[in-house]
Amino acid sequence: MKIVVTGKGGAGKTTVAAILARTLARTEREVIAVDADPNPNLGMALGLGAEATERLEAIVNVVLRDKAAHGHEHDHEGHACDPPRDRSAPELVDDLAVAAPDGVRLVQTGLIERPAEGCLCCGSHGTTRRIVNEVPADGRVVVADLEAGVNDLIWAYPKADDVVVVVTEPYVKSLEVARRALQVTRDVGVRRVLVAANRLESDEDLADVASALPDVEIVAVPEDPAVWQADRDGVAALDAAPDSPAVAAVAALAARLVELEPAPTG
Amino acid sequence: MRVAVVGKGGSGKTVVAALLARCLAERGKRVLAVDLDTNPGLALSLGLPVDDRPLPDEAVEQREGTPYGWTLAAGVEPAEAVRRYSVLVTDELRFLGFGNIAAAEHRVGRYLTAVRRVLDEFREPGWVTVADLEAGPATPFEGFTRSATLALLLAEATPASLMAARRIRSILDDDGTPTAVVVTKGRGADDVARVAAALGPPVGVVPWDPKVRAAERRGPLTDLATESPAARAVRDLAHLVEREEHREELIAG
Repeated sequence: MKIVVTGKGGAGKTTVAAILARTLARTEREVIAVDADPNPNLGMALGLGAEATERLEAIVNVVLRDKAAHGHEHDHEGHACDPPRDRSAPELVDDLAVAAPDGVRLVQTGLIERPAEGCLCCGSHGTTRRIVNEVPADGRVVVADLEAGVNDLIWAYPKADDVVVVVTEPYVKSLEVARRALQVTRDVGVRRVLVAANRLESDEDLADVASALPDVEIVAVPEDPAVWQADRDGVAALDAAPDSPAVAAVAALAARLVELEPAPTG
Repeated sequence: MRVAVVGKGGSGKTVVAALLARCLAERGKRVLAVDLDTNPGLALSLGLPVDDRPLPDEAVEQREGTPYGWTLAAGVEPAEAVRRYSVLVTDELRFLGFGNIAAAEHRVGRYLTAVRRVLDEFREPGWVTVADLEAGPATPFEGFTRSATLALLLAEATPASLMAARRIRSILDDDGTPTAVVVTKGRGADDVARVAAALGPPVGVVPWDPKVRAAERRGPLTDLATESPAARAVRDLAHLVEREEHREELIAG
């Protein structure tokens, strides 16, 4: 199962992705968590701590290191920009993944900061697409936490059998991004799409989300001071507040995704 | 004077950009508010309706050697582009964006570069540009903050927000872009101290403000009381921008 988590900046993508990854890992599945944000911090939400998260190496930075001329033209449309393929996507995961709690393996696709090594201007999106599309899903779970906004969802280009989780808050701007993300999932033919309606304070909030985003299954995640506190402390909500309402709601979302999984054929 | 508002997703860039643009306009500046986010919200926060339309085809043309291969059409200079394609919010405040990503085939780059040229080259005297950037370090890395005379770097006092801000700061410093740190959603002295320890002393603190949260629910910030804590804090930022502008004018002689 491949799960792509998308939504507006600040909606709670990383928190949701981290709880999904670890909850699914606790069901004896092999889980690969992919931090696809060029401003990566999934490691912190998984419980690796701030320092270890900052020390993580990003795939695109490693494969492009010392390769100023790394064999691709920059047309600035992005499409010709594809990092070197001397290693397959599964090999890149095996070589660069770090161990996170509950046996989750974490990779990050790109990291943007200065001084930069090699060329990063186009690598992170393309690398995300490679990892999401080319790491086989058979028997394992891939959870990708995308960059804020719809652009990275288009880059990741999930397939019909993948799962997309759109995280939104009950605010107009957040719902706008969610609406667009849902449009993209329809455009590319993704069959299993769920909305995680995050930071809900009332039934009215849930009704706002439902009326803005009709015809899609919505999982309600309540506003939860414990998640806010975990964020502030740079720790995993799952460790700091395992029984808090928001953590329980995302765990229920994980269970729902398992339910929706088609039975293995053959 | 060209202000760029940068920070992590959810740090409050659009709220600060919208309130700052409105405040400067109310104080008699002519303001161009530019949305550089591919998932734009600035128009909404300024009280404009959601508009998916990109710039009209006549505004852009293909040209080799430009980012994404597209730029403003020949004959459409940045000032002309502002006159033709920006939307009047109030007499003093204009808005320019490049449409929303509404479908998988949307070609963002085509219009983004045109808006970038306006950002880089629009230098009408007496105007202040307030640009609302995409979340995180990607657009600063691509040079979208390079023409700014002041970057407002927004940070909440959370490790994730500070980590993002440090990455963005490394790019701004490398480019030599003057940067001012602003604490957002601040809940007290401890938050200010955390941000100061990570990024240096902030020039302002936009406090956590339930009124902003309530307004965000509906979209426009136009009804936000001018005496709400966040609006007051942004007014202080507007004073800072005016002082910087005055300093720029003195230096320019």
